[in-house]
Amino acid sequence: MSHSEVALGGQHAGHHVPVMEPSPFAVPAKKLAMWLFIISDIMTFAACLVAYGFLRNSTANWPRPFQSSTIISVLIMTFILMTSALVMAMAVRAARAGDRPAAFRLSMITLVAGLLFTLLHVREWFGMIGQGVTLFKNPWGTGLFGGAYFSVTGMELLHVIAALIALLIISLGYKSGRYTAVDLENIGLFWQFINIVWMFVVPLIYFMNLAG
Amino acid sequence: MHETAAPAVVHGPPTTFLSKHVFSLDHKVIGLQYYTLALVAVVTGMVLSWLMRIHLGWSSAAIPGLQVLSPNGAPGGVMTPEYYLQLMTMHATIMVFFVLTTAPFAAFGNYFLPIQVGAEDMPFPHFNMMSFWTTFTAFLILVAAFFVPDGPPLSGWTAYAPLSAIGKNAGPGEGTGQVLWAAALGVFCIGQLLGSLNFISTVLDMRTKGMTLARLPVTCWAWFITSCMGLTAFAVLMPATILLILDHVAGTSFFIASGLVLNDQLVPHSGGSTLLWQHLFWFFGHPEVYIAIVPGMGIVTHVLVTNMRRPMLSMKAILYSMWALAFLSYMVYGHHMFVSGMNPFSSLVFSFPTLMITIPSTVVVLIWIGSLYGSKLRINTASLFALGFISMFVSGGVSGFFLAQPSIDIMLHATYFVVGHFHMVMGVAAMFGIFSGTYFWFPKMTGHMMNETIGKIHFWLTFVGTYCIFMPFHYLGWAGNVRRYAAFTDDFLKPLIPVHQFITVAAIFTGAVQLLFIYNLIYSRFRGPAAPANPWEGTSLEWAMPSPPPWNNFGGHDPIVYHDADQYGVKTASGADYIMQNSPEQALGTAEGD
Amino acid sequence: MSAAEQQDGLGKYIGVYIGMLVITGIELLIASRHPSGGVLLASMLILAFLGAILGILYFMHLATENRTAIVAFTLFTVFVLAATTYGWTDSFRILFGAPFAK
Repeated sequence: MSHSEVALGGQHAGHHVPVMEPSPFAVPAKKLAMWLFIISDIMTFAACLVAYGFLRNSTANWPRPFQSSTIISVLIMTFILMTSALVMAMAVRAARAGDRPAAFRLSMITLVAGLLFTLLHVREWFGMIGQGVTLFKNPWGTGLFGGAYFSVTGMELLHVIAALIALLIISLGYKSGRYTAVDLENIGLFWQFINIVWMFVVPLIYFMNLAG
Repeated sequence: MHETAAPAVVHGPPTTFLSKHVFSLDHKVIGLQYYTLALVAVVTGMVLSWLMRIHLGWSSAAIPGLQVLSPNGAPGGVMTPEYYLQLMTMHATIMVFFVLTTAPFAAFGNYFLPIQVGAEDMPFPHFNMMSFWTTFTAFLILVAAFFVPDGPPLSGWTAYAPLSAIGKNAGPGEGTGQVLWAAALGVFCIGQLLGSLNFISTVLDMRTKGMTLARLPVTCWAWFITSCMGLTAFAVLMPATILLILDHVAGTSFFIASGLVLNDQLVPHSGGSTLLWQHLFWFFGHPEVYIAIVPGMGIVTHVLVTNMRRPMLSMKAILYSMWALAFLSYMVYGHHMFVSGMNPFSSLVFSFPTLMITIPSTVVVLIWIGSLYGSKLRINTASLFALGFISMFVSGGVSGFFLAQPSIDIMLHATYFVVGHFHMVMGVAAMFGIFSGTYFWFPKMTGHMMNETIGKIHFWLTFVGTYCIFMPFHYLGWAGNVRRYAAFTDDFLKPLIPVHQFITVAAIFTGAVQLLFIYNLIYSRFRGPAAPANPWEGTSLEWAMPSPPPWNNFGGHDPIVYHDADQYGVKTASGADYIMQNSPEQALGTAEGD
Repeated sequence: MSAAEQQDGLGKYIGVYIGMLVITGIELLIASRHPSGGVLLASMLILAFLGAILGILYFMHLATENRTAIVAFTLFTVFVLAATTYGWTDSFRILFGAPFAK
């Protein structure tokens, strides 16, 4: 593969393939953009988590409400999301090897797992709301708890939903040949990133606020 | 072929009016759109500053027509103190975000970055188009704050909590106006993120054959470094604005502490932290200052090298200094917060890198001055504005040494000294960078030369005028004149009113001088003499194409690069004293003895 | 990256996957013993970062990217992340009056 093709994402351009210098990172532009977006998103989540940590430190009556029932549900969600990450990694692996049907099948499994995660997440939210947790008050302590809880997990949920829609479009397009393995790898990167954010949300939001 | 399957560089020529001028994928058109937006914004911001200055000089004078814009804010044309603050907030926000960030970075960067690296376009033209239209939407949202019942917010461009967070009881504009302000900034962040993605991938992945990283023109590096800052800094501002909006509309208390009493009433919020907003805001805010100035540094270096006809003493030192500025910009933000009640030990920690950041700034200035020494600088409007940039950057930068030290800053904080400092070092200096870039690149962008005589008059009047405005700010600061006061009725401030009146006259004069620039822009755009491909005898790739460039930049023939952009002052077979980057010609030696 | 690039074995993926699950288990174990705030936060963060490193290196294939890319992305991100923690001491001072608040 020539340098220019690498730079453009491993495909042939329409009418004119520019001759280009090699990328210093040897990363095609599309993938580079995804990595850069992820770096930017890391900062967005970091700002949310820093805000949460800052407020938690500065508040005397921070509640620790999570009972074992919530924790079990969170563990199930974690298991589902991590499994979907594994399946997504396998889908990308298959796509790289050129096995289009297998890659499509595996990304569909990821999609289903992601949907299941979303449903459980929403169920979790309704559970919290049912216990009287809103953005500004809750039965246990400072009203900030709800604000921090819903904004951090809401950010995560928003990312999951956006990623699922993108995954659906790209997987279907990949199956029909409109999108390439690089595109699938890109959405795969984003899905892995969501899993990694969840790995911070679970200990920092849930495990640090265990009841008892 | 579907757009996502085909690499982005191959978008075809525009076919309709909409795809050519409005929703264009062409980086050059997007650059011009950004430039136009910045022009509209700068005129708006300047008019706002006039209104404020008139009020500061003659606080009881009625400004005809102001009562139409805001019947409550300016009954009978005389603005209330609150309305003064509202105008100030809008002036600062418009200038910082939609002029200083938009013009040198997004406008010139979009236009010239792909050209200078030898690419047909950026890798993601759709993102690029979205980037402009999101920024434009952000501008509309911000300006809409003028037309809501209570008007724009009065909390300043830093929107310090709790004033900015507790809603409309905090003052006029603190309800809907503040929410619009926060929403505008959040949307602006998305636009800048899309722009930064494009800029970084253009520099890394779209360089034409022979354009190694070491051969990139300095402007490309400046835009690249700026994008790296923009990528992370705006990503922190965005969630901060979302939390601020939640405090307004959802009843949360992220930035509102317990026990706050407002108008003799306990505010029904508890638990939040006002300092948290400052930490989040300034984490973005300080890199933002360098986002405004680093592209200007690149443009000035580029313009000076071309007009000096010899390379800088050390281009490497300039590059490393710009990287050092970017690196340190993340470690100094607390110097905005010395009197905020922050941990005093942090003040010490922030003071040290703040003093350190003067080192790369000084290195850049010394290299400029050292390279200028003894050079036969071609005096034209672009090079004059580049010299003006250095002058403003030094004059404004020197006061930074004072403000960097907490013990002195405590005295000078929130006085006109600070206002003078940042207006010179990041405001006017960056504006001079924009002017320099405009006079330099206008022939390329439009195909017409600008009028040099009007340009030089514009430069000298602007140069003298801005010093007349902003130098007295420093004296006022030493005299203890607090910023953000709408009128000076205190005894110790009364003797300073004549100084304010002088500044006001200078500001109106300098602003009026800018009409010359706008006239020059419009007249030259249509009536200026036709520009040759390389009017300034430059070496970088933008001069290797017709003026203005065709839609696909190099007409489908990718240039091959053989040199860096510093081949000036050389002997060549053709007799020219420069070699263009895409010319295979080799130098026969240096033209000058030195 | 190229088509001929070494593909990670499935075994490695499953190892990473099990590693992530185990890390979550250890986190829960530590948290359920209710250690003091500082210990809890430190152990949660360290474990979360371990999991994240596993995910980034193997599921996101950073380990098999070009070495310059790994170094550049990591240094840049870690530096900016570190820079967000300046305000940390201020968060305690509201509640405890220390350091330097009295």
